[in-house]
Formats: sequence, C-alpha cells, structure tokens
Amino acid sequence: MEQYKKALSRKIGLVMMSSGILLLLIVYLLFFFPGEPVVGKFPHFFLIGFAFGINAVGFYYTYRYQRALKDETLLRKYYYEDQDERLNLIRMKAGFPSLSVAGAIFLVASAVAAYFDATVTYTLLAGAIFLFLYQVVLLFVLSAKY
Amino acid sequence: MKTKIKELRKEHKLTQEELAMAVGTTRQTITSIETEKYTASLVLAYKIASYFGKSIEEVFDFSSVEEE
Repeated sequence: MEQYKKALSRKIGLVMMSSGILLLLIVYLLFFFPGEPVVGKFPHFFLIGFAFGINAVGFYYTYRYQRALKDETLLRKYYYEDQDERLNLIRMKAGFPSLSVAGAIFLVASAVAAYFDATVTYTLLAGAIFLFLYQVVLLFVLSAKY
Repeated sequence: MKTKIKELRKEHKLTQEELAMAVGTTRQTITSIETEKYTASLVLAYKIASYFGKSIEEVFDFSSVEEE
C-alpha cells in the first residue's frame, strides 16, 4: 500500500505537470505565435475548450487521488480497481493507454497544424475523434462481454 | 465456468462488495464470475477459495472444461 501511495503521488505530479505544459503551449499559440491560423478562429476556441476540458479532468483526478491519500478505505478501493484483473483485461483489449495517448497527440497536433494547413488540421481532428469513439464503444462492448 | 460463490456468499452472509474487498478485487468482477461471464485467474480463484476455507475444485466447477 505504501508503494501505491507513492505511485499516486507521482500520478498527481504528472497530471499537474501535463496541465502546466499544455497551458504554456496554449498561451504560446494564442498570444505569441507569429501569424494567424489558416482555419479562422476555430483553433483558438478549440484550444481554449480543450485546455479547460483537460484541466478539468486533471483537477478531478488530482482531487480524487488526494482524497484517497487521506482515507485508507478509499485508497484500498482504488488500489483494487487499479489492480483488478478483469478491468485490466478490458482496458488492454480496448487499447488503453496507447490509443488514448495517440488520440491526445492527434488533438494537440491538430491544434498546432491549424496555424499551417486546414486539411491536416481536420484530418488529425477526425482521427482523434474516431480513436476516442472507438475506445468508448469497445469499453461498453467489453464491459458487457466480461 | 460454473461456481458456487453465490451460495457460499449467502451462507456466510456476505455482499459482493464485502467479498470483493476481502479478496482484493472489485464488486463488478465478483458479479461477472458469478454470472459466468468472466473466468477468474488462478490467483483470484485461489484467494476466493481460501477465503471460504475450501479448495479451488470445491468452489469452481471444472467439469465443463474437462468436456471440452
């Protein structure tokens, strides 16, 4: 359980660091990047929405993990969820975390590409949305199957 | 795979959640094992059987596996 507490503290650190890096990237693209996006105002609003979404998820998980670090019963419950063989089988078959990371990279790349080429922007965005939907559908199907 | 987990749980007056916490898994996994949707690994099967003080063969029915 001590190892798991350390792992949770590391996760909290990673989440906060990722949020910070994402915010810096977005601030740079919004205020300091020379030139305008080729797809109009879309990338600006997309980036703002994306940043809010990612940070909201990040804050939720930070809050969740912080609560668990203070409550042994909750910590044990999250530990069992993390280690559960059935859930890990479902996650593995649904392509976690590889496809999720790929989708996130597509999204960020799409936002950056918006400053250069419209076709690439929309292609990457479509790819990210497809990956997300594919994983959600797989999760539902596999949860019902197993 | 058929199991006697539900009967054993009722004998010991345990909920699925209580059994799950006792053997280090989630309630959903216990449900899936009881409804024969999911086959427990050897480690989990051993933990469940040990918890009830029985052998794996007494809790899990391997006859369907032998037929295959």
